[in-house]
Amino acid sequence: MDENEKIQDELFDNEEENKLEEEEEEEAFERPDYEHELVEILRSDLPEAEKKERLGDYHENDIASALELLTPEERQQLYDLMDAETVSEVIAYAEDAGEYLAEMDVEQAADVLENMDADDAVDILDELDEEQKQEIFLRMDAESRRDIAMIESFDEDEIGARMTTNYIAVPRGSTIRQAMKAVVEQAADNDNLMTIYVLEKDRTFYGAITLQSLFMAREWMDLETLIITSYPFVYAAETMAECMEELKEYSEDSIPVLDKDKKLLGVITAQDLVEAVDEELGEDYARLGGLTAEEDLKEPLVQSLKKRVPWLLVLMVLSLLVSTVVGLFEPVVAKLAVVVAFQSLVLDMAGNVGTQSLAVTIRVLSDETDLTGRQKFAFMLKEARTGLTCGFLMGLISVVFCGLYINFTKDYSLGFSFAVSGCIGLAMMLAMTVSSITGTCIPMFFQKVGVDPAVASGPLITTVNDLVAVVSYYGLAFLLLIQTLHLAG
Amino acid sequence: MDAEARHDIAMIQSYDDDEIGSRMTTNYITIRRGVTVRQAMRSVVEQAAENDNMMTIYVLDGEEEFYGAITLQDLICAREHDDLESLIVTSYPFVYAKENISECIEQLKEYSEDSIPVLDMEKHLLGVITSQDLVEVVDEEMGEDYVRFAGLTAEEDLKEPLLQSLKKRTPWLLTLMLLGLLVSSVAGIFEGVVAQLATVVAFQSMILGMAGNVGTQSLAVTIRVIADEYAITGKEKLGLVFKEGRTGFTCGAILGLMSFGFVGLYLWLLKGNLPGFSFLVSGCIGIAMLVAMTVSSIMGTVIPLFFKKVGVDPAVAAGPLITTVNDLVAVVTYYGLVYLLLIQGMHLAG
Repeated sequence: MDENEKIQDELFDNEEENKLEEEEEEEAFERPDYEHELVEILRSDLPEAEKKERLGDYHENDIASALELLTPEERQQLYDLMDAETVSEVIAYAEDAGEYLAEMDVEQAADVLENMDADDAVDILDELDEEQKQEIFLRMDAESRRDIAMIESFDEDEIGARMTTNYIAVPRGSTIRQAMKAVVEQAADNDNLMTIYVLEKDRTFYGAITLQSLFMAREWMDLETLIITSYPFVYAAETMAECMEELKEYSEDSIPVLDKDKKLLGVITAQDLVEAVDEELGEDYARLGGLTAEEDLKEPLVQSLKKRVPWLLVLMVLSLLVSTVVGLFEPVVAKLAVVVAFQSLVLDMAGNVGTQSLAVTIRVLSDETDLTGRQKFAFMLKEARTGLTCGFLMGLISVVFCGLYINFTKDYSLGFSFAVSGCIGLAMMLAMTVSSITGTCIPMFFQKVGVDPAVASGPLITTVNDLVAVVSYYGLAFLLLIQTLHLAG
Repeated sequence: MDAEARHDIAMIQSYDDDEIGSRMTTNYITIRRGVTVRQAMRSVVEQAAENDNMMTIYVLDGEEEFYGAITLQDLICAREHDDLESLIVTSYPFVYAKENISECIEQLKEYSEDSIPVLDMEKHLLGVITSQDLVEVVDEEMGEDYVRFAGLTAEEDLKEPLLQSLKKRTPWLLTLMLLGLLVSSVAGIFEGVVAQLATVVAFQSMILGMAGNVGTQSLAVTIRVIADEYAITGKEKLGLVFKEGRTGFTCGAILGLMSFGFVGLYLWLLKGNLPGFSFLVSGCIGIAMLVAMTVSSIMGTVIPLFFKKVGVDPAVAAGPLITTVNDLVAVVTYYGLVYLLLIQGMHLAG
């Protein structure tokens, strides 16, 4: 009891403190402007040795941002102040890396790329045109060329295209001392130190040791006792989409990437995973909005069009289909023009509910990788139930409001007004229920036939739902109002 | 639990869910400024027993103030008599514990480090955010953005009970319905037009639908741009509006022209109307589509930018507002044109 009280008190104290702090300093999240500081240092009259020292105080990403603010000559001055590895790291962080590389002479560019992680080098080389790329590539050392060629041999969506050759490996059967020595040696070029990979004589993957356990080991211990032999791994030819959930779950600093003979090719780091997750979700988001891929701020018109027009054309064909169906109800409309005004209301509400179901389904499908048919069916029922309930609520509200509206603003009788709004309410409920079902079933169907469910974009669902809504609405108007109640003419 | 663990937990829990402090860990290694390379190495090995985030070693000044960081790589490769000071990066990136996650997330991604220090307002080291934490955070943030785009207030999962689902969805649906009623009342003004020329109604959904689609595209682009480029200038914003408007106009022109042609032919050949009438109607459709789609892409850009400026999350609010504005513009343009050209201009009704 005492301890719990203590914890409660601490929690309470901390919260109080934080509230006070919040009130005092609402927007005081000041951060030094490292980029401009760097530019100033470079342009100052300080002696070179001092400039070098000051540079060493900054993070490579900030130096990379500073590059944008400098002239090409100044950039070269900056490179001269840093050692080769640092220059490589800085360029790896830079957004316009290809540009900066093109400014350098070919020898220097080759050196910079050699010192970089192979996967970063691959990305930057891709930004250059073929000629430049070849020139620089030929000047690089054999090992770097081999690593780059290996990574490039994989498709963009395969894990092999995203792995890095920056890792530390020791042979099985080393002593603790030998292992430590190997780590120190390899640490100069490879900074993924946390997990040390252990290989058999034929370079097949045997297991992994954490640096932590190596640090804590005593010299006389057997290395074998530190090795985790059942360590998770992925195959280079697997796609990122397939492995992503597993990689997220393992939550390791790095996971080994093997070829089909179990030889170690490279590793996937947690940072690689952050990028991959970011991209995957960014693409899903764009697709929900009806784009075929993510766009950015500086997208040229032709590119934008290429990404958007295909989808728009498909949607237009579907819309025309909807329109032809509406055309079938022309006589209904001719007799009861007032119903037209509420068409967009019914369609919009159905669309909204459908998009909600769609978003939920796509997220569920990507988070839970092994859903049984039964679970999917249960999920669809749940969505349908939600859609039905929402539809019922909204339908009820619209019956009341639309009925009153029609009665007040137009010269129709109360009975007529509520007959029409009754149609609206019923159609809305029906359309919203069907809508949540389509919003769930369509992405599930896509996944089943092997298409990424996120392709089932928002606009596709809305257009499909328009069709259902329109048929329900005018159909009901026809049946109830014209046939049954003879309200027209 | 022991006092230290309790203290750490209490501290992390004291932060709101959306503050970065709630995601940090107290698992990190520190050394004092002024130690030698040998002392530093020894301290690391000692602390490694309990803290496995070893890649970045944080250096503290006298009063526990954050001074800078050293990479383990540099420390391991250093010679015994090197001056530790020369290895320390003093202008190291950091975040404040009380910062909003969605605000620092882009920076955390950019630095691509194993860990980033989390400080309090007096620059004391409270904890670190590791790259594994970042994977989780990015996943959640973007998952939330995704469902907000569809009008849900938070992510739902497989086993969500009905009541919960309703609570998350109905507020929004109610707002949307009010907006929908607004559009309907405007459409109702044109009842006279519709009564005279029922044919034109069939294509209303097409125009509104296409305008909506284009607006949604612009919205999706704008929201991602706002999220990725965390400091976007007024000039860039104007550039984006112009770019989207131009794209919308071009798409509108392409599709407007196509609908003019196809719908015209459809009305004439398949529905047996006079060619003049058919193409006048399809002309109205084409022009209305062009106007609606252009306005839509501009709205799809301007509205989220505006919301962001006044501090409202654009991901949720923008979509329905844009749809409503589009519907209004489309309805007025379409039926207005039909009225002017066909009924007034050509006396084609009746």
